[in-house]
Amino acid sequence: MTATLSYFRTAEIIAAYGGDPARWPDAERVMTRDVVAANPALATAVAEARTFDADLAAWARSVVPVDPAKLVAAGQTARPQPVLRWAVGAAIAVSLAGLLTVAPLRPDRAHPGVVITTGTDEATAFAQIFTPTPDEEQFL
Amino acid sequence: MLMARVADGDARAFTALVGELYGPALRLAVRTTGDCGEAEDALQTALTRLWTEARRFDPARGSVGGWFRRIVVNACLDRRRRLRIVAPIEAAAHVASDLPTPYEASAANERARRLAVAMAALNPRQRAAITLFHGEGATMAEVAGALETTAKAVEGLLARARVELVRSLAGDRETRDE
Repeated sequence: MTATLSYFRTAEIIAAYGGDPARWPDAERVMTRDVVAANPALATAVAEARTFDADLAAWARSVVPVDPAKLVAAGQTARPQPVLRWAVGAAIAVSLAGLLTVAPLRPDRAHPGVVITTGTDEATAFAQIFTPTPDEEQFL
Repeated sequence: MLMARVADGDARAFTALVGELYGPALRLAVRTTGDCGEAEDALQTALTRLWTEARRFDPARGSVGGWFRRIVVNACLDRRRRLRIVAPIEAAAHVASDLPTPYEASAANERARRLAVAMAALNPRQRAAITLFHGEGATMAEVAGALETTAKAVEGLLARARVELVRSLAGDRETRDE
């Protein structure tokens, strides 16, 4: 018994794949050809589909000009530059170091017990903060 | 080979790969999005993914080109989803296409110009499927892979697209004949 395709399935294949038998599904190609050969309406559909295929291919393949400068820029933008990565890392490190240095010198309104005198240079402020009091020294 | 070097962080290999992939990918992106600027942005996103996710490429599952096509289509569709196009689809037929083709400039190629306008009314998945199947000669399975769906679903997508295009072109012809 020879397998055959329904008229509907054949029309479906032409509608989806177009009029070129080479593009039809391998497993159904021969049967599709047979059904088309036996149905003038489907043969007409194949001929029309073939014309339309050419239009679709022309649309899909029409050249989109590539700007060489954009191509180069796109490649560079897509991967972070080593120098840039280094610079970003350095900037983050500097920011963190700045925060660690400055933060203890800033008056903390939430803790009024901490007093920073105005007009004190950084070295003096550092010494004031990190020099242990007599009470603290007994723990050292 | 080139891809393996890219996965190892070889910048020169990446530049060479971008040179190979950029042109076809830009065409696919322009056809899918229907807009040159959007296509370039989507392609930039795709190239960044190509670089950052190079180690995830598995040559046993297909070619670099096929893998990258999938990334490009995804980037295009993601952008379209984020833009949340709300204009009625019928309006697209009356809007001049942004497609950077010589169609509109050529009076002799009236049919192609009308087709480009009709294409603008399709959804991006349909345009991507047509571009891959008819433009790049991809198999139904390859198109399905790029669109992350089944071959059967792509059949339906392409068939509906063709019907819509034929209807749109016929309507356009009737309008012009009146």
